[in-house]
Amino acid sequence: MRRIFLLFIIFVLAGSYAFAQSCTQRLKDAEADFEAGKLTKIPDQLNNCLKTGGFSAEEEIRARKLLTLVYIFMDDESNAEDAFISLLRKDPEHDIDETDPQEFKSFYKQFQVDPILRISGKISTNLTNVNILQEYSPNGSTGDGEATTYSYGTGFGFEATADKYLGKGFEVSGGPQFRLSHFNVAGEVTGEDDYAVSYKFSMAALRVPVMMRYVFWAENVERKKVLPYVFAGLSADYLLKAGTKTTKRDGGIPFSDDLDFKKLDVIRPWNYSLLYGVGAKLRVKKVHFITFEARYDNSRRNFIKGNNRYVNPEISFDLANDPFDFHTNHISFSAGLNISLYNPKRLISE
Amino acid sequence: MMKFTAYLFIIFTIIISSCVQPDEDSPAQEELFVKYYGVGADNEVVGIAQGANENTWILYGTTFTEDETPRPYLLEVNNAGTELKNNLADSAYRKLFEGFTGSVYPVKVKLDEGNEEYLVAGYYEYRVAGNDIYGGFWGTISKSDLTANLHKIDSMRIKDIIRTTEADGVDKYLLLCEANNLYKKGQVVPSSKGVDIVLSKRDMNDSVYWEKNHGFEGEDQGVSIFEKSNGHLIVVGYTEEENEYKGTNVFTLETTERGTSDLGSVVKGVTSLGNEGQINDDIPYSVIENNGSYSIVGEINKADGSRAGFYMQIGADAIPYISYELDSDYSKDCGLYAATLGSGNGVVAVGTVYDFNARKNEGYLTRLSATGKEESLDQHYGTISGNDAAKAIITLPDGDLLVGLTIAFGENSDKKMALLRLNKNGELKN
Repeated sequence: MRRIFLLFIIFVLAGSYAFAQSCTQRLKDAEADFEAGKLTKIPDQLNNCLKTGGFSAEEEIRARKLLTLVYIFMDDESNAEDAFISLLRKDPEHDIDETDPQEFKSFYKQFQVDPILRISGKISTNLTNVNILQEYSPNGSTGDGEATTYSYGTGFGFEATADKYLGKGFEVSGGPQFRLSHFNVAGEVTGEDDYAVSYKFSMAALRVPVMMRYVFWAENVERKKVLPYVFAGLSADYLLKAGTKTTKRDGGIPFSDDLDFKKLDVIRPWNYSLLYGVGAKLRVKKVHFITFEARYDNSRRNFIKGNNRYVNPEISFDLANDPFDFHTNHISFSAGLNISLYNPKRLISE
Repeated sequence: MMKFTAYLFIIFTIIISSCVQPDEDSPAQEELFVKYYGVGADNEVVGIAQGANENTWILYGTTFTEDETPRPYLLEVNNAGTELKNNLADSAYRKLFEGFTGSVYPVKVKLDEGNEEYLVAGYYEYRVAGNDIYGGFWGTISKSDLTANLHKIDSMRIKDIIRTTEADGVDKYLLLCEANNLYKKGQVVPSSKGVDIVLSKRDMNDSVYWEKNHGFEGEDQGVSIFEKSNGHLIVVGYTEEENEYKGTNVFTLETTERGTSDLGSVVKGVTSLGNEGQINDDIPYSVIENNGSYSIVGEINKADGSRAGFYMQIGADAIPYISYELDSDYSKDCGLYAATLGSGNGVVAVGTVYDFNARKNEGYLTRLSATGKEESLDQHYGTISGNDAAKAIITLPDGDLLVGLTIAFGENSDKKMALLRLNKNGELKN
């Protein structure tokens, strides 16, 4: 039984090899016939192998291009279109050779060859700095106390974007992003070390950045391996959560409750940001990319609802720290995968 | 199309980047603030007063020095609540109490508008050979540099001070004191009737013009003194005198300009809500002039252990004609320690609301009128960790309220002085 099974495997493999050899030869024959002007038999020669998958990937591209050429020269528009679309599906953004017939080049221009969209997934780390618009320190004393200090905090994010190429190197990009960020605050209640306040201010935001990107060498025929880009844009930002973490007010009975500023209605959930950055796309598999990006985000609205600054005793008295008016600045570094999506179709019918 | 989209996007981005949204609803620090002050772990508010100009204020309180003894602490703040200077290093104070190891308690601060000075008063205590010794201090503090000109008096606690109107051009000061001595014709003899209210008129050379006792059997204590336009004096205090009201009650009197009480005195109790038969102690804490009459706020300590604020109004003749017990919006015990005339005709009073759920005692603000408390407008302030109390309040020219609180960050000590600038309703919002 085992011997019979092995014989069956060998038979199948041998058969496949023989069939492949046969398709390779048929393609060579068809190319020879095309050069000789014998067009009528070529579709039959190639279609069987295309249907049965007898070509290698490179051969299939040659075969589909040859079929397209044959149908063009036979004035069979319908089949030429089908063959070319099949070619583009197999070989997106198929490159034209300088030696290609002019008829093929003209035909090529009638099709949507470029990706309809590129989609990206990115993960990022960020550094967040707070930009103080107005301080509201609870420390009324001007003695030996130190000013409130604010320092960077780290966070992370992930993002999905869709990119639409507009032409001449410009593309518009946008999509949802989740960003977790924080910065650190440390101050004194009355200018004495033993009455000190410190906390991390944490912000979880759902954002929708939209940006205009200029990609260098985007239309370079050589398909460069690295495509640097610069971009600028805007983002609508919605805070899912914001408040203090690792909260600590020393002095007396220490207060250590983390305070949810959104629940306490002290923080504006909506904001918008300006963003700028640079990046690079590293080409993988001809039309897909790995991206690396550095981005600067700057929120534009004061986050604090000024009229509610003091209305929560938890903030003004228990923590003894008045919410200060602020924007945030974020520097983020991301890495991601950029996939091109195609829908080849004829745009112009002659 | 591509170019148009790109240009549109760039123009839109530039427009957005150039217009940062202003914070329309963010009040300036000169409109609202919460500020803390203090030296060491224990500080308490005593009073606040208008400062050297309309944009500065004086906060007066007690701070405890490193050897745990209390001493006065006066500081000037600007209209954003930031300390400009204080007199903790004042040489006059140090000279007055040089070598003194007892306690010094400030009681009153007020602006003397005519003399570019603040008037201050208080008392000191110490213990010698098992005996409690006490005395008072009073004086003036310069508006410009907070330097003090202070004086001590033996055996009298000073509770209030005014500068009297004089024709001879010599500044004289009337001190509202309490003592258990009798002061008669320059002679001082121990009183057999307990503590009395004593009025003492003096000048900066420590010349004593006259001293007069007022009161009954038992404890009689002064709270506030006012000079009327005719030179007569209005005195408000409290007494243990036994009368129809029982317990401790409000004691009001009008005297001549020489402090004689031949114009009469009244002892008045506050009718308690729901337990009229109880013997309560009605303690007044603050008195303000109110359009020719005087408004008194205080606390009723009831026989059943509960407490309530009260309001009393007396006429220009010192006769009470309105009094009622306060029922806070929070349905909690409360007490009132200071008052000011609000931007309307009503009185805004502050104090403490007791056992405010998990927040312990909270600073408390309520609005009162001759006809009763305005409902649903009470406010509270303070920490969850300690017992907080509002001790002082003034109305600012624009109607805002400035409240001084003792904020407790711990159980017993760990107290800071706090200054709150509130809107006219007592809220920490515009």
